[in-house]
Amino acid sequence: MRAFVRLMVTAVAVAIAVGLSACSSTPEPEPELPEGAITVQQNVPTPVEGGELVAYNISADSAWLSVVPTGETARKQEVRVGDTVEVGEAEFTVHAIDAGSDDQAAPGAGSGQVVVVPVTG
Amino acid sequence: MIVAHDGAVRASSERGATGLEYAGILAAAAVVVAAIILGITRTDIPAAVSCEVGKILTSTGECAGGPPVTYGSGPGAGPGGGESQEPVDQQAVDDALDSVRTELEGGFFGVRSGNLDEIRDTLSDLSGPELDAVIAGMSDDELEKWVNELEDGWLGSGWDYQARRDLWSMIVSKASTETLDRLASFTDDLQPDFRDVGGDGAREDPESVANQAEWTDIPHELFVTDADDPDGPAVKPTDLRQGAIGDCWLIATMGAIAQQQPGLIEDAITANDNGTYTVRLYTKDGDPVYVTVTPDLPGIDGAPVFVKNPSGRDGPAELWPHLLEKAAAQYRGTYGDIESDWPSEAITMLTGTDPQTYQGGLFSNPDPPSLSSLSATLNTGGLILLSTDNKDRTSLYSDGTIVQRHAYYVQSVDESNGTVTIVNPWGLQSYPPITMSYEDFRASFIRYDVAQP
Repeated sequence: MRAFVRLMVTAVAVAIAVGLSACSSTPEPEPELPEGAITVQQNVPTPVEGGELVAYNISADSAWLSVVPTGETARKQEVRVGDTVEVGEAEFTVHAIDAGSDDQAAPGAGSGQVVVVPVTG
Repeated sequence: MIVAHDGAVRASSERGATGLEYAGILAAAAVVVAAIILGITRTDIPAAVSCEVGKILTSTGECAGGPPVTYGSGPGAGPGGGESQEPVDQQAVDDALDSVRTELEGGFFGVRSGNLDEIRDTLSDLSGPELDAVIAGMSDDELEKWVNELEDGWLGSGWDYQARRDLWSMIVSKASTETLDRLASFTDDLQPDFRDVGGDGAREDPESVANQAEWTDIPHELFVTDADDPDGPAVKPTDLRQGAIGDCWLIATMGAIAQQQPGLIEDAITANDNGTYTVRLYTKDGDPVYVTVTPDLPGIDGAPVFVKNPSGRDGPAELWPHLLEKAAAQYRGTYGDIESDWPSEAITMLTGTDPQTYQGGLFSNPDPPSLSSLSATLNTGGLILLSTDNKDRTSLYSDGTIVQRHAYYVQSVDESNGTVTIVNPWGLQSYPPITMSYEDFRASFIRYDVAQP
């Protein structure tokens, strides 16, 4: 009987400890973005130096960027991490690609994004 | 008082004529000093004098303040802008103020919805300057109590957002900027919030539009006719392109209407005397609803951040696309509330019609209307909106021509060549229309919304 009680007390203690640790756990910190990084949200025209970028048709390892130098016609470019993109006289490196969630949703709901960093010097 | 006055007179008499002269000089000096102080501290002397005279004539004992500063009085103001010259019926102002205060006292169960109805009805009957005077006459505590009762109430007796929106629309349509600025310190209902655009990611990004934009006065004209086509329509699909917000479903529909029924947009917007604009939208049931908005816009460095005019165009902003987008946001609540939806919702909201929807299943494509039917719809002023989902349905996706999770509208149909030409709401100047075969048209979209005029 005593062993059973000891077992139950131990089980309850372990359960409480696990519960507390779950409550107090902190989410993974977001990775730091490089200086000057610009997040281009899926399907949302985003102003950048030299014009505008739109990220679309984003998959796990690639995305399309619509590149619109100010006042000019858009040019499409398929990119992967590490590629460079020229917008007018400005140049950017693709730092990260995130396809976002795969939920079925109405137009405008894309949660993917492409992070670009201006090339300096 | 009489004794003292008599005593003063007696004292003066005893001192003789010299004493009277001193008194006169002192009185004149006091008047001059008072005039200088008044001149330094008050720049609205004519209005103040007018007000004081009005107080004497009407025995009201209250001033309504000077002439209101209104929207639309600056450079680039749209039609209807400028200061209101309507006279103020002081008796009506006093009666309204008394009525508002009585209703705010409430009854045994506090302020009920009926009390708030009475306040709305009272304010509805006033002119703009009279409304300004009533609001100016209310203390901060009274305004705070009124807004709290509207938004929360006692045991849920406050109004829902729709009722509050209609009340604020009425007030925004005729109040001065000064009045609206004061009210804005008590409620967020006057303007559609934009801090929720882009979701959590944008909220946590200090560089996001949600965190960088601020309400901005932008030189504008309601409609702009092209200099090289002065007889052409003022409303054109080239007037707009989507900005930094996921409302392609709305902007594509606005572009389709601009192409097919430009007069509908011109008729939907009314310029008010105080520089604000009332936009006619429609409920899901097709009933008209009127939303009044101010012409200031979320902007960064003086430029609008959401729907935009064509890049590179000189001159004032053409306001109609901004007003429709802002009114849609105000109608739903916030700019974040117009991110992501189906074009059919925009068709109903902007035209009051219920479109025919052709929707595919999980594993099947929808069966859209035939080429001849599409052509007939366009020829009679109808609208054809298209939606994509998150799948590469044809090679037009894998080569980057068509965008997933996006909306388009049909510009034209060529029955002899068997092609359909569609438009991307990101802007005709930078994104030329896309022409595709009818077979690709049938296979590329998850949904077709077709509205007859």
